[in-house]
Amino acid sequence: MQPLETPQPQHARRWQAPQVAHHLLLMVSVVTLMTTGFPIKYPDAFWAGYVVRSFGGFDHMLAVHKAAAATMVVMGILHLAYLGTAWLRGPRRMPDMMPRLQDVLDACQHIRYSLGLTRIPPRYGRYSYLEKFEYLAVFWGMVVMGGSGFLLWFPGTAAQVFPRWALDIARIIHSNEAFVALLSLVFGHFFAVHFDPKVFPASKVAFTGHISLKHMAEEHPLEFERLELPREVKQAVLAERGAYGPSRWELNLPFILLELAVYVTIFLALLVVFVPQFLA
Amino acid sequence: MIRGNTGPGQTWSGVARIVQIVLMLTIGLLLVISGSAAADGAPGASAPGAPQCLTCHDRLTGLGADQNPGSTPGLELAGFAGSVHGNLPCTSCHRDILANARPHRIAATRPDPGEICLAGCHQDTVAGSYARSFHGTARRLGSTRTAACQDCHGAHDVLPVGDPLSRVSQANLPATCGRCHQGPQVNFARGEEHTVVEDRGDAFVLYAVWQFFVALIIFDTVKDGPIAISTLVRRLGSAWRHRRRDRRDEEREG
Repeated sequence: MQPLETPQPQHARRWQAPQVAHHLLLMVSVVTLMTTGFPIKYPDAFWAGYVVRSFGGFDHMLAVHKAAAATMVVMGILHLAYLGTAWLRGPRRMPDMMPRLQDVLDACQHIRYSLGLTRIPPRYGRYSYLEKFEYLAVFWGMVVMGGSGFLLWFPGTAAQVFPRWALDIARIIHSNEAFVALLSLVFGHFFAVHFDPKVFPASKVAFTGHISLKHMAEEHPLEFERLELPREVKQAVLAERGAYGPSRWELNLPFILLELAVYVTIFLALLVVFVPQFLA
Repeated sequence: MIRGNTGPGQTWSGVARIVQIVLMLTIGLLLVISGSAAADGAPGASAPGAPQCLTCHDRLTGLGADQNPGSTPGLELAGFAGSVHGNLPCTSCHRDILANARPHRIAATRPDPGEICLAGCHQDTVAGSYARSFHGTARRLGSTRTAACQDCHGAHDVLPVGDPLSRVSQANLPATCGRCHQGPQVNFARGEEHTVVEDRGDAFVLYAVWQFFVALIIFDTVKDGPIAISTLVRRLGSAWRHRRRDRRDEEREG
């Protein structure tokens, strides 16, 4: 990874090079895994045939799927090694991601704030309870998808230990956790980093490793307060209509209304599809 | 056989007339019985197709196998006669053979062997579970390496699951799976084939796991949906306030 640029005055460093690299590897492998995996989950969908043909047939597509899976496993090992070395150097970076009691309180406050029961938004530190949940959910997803995928990749090896019905369960797990992952990626994560008008069309934090002070002041106020910066800079950031004012998407009423319609539709459609399946 | 359509002007004795009526009734009765037998789905050994085809294609007695081995595949008659399909006409599976004149008239597109089994007779019992299995999905998407019906069940020698000689009997299943998956292993036989998650009785663990993940999907929906929606509503409010304030500022300046 090439060294990152020095931060501009209105930016702060959020991620180091290894974190940026791990996110990139995870992104590439997950997008590939989903592209090559969902035609197998929905073989009768109109797009399944196109995807399979674009990979030159089913067997080639499956080979790409396995290559992406191997990439993801390598990325996971790299990240665990990174966590290990960070821990050995001194347990300073890890606690940022560790769930605490404050996260439960933040979640309650967020629910009350979203329902309009309070005007005080939750004040997050370096990582919000949602970001911590997402990060730990990726751990869960990698273990579940990696484990079940390994059994399906090597059924003969797996059968030396597991009965055949365990492989059937592995397939149910792999297929359904894939949808859970798709949902949290496209419906959850993409809102936070793409479709929230505050960051639309994309937040660049994960790629540059730098976060704008305005963004930090809004989303991570406790971290912003702890930041060592001249008072004037902080005040300029906190003043709503200064050099760091809202983006044009944040002020685009038709755009926000359209997004609202799309998200309400997807939300209701998901409930209509899956709640009856659960109650059946 | 029936001599009823004799020409006019011929005289009939009473006895001959009675014999004629009895004969016709007997033939009628035979026709009714054989018709109902066919409707019961038990075609007789004399079903059209098999004997004619085996004249050439039987490896033991056929002529074609010796005369023209390249174009007339042989067939172990012993295995076929003993299989559950032994009394079916060949063309009920070999549907691309359109006529038995030589050279055969053969359909331009050869139907997928798996589809033949499912389309004609076995659609209710196994089609759904095979289509949803990994083997069935891979085949549906064009894989030629994956197992179709006959790869596990055999083709001409297909036997019921309960038959110890069947390829899919409990004893033979490990070897059958092992033909593709790293040799015979006992664990291959420990589970149910042709089940789907909705079969709670046969596959309750599958069903429970599936329900757990449906619950997880609902949890994700209920978590992420309202977050996006409430955030958008808040952004809408602040965009609206911004617009009003900008308008007020303009009025004040202008």
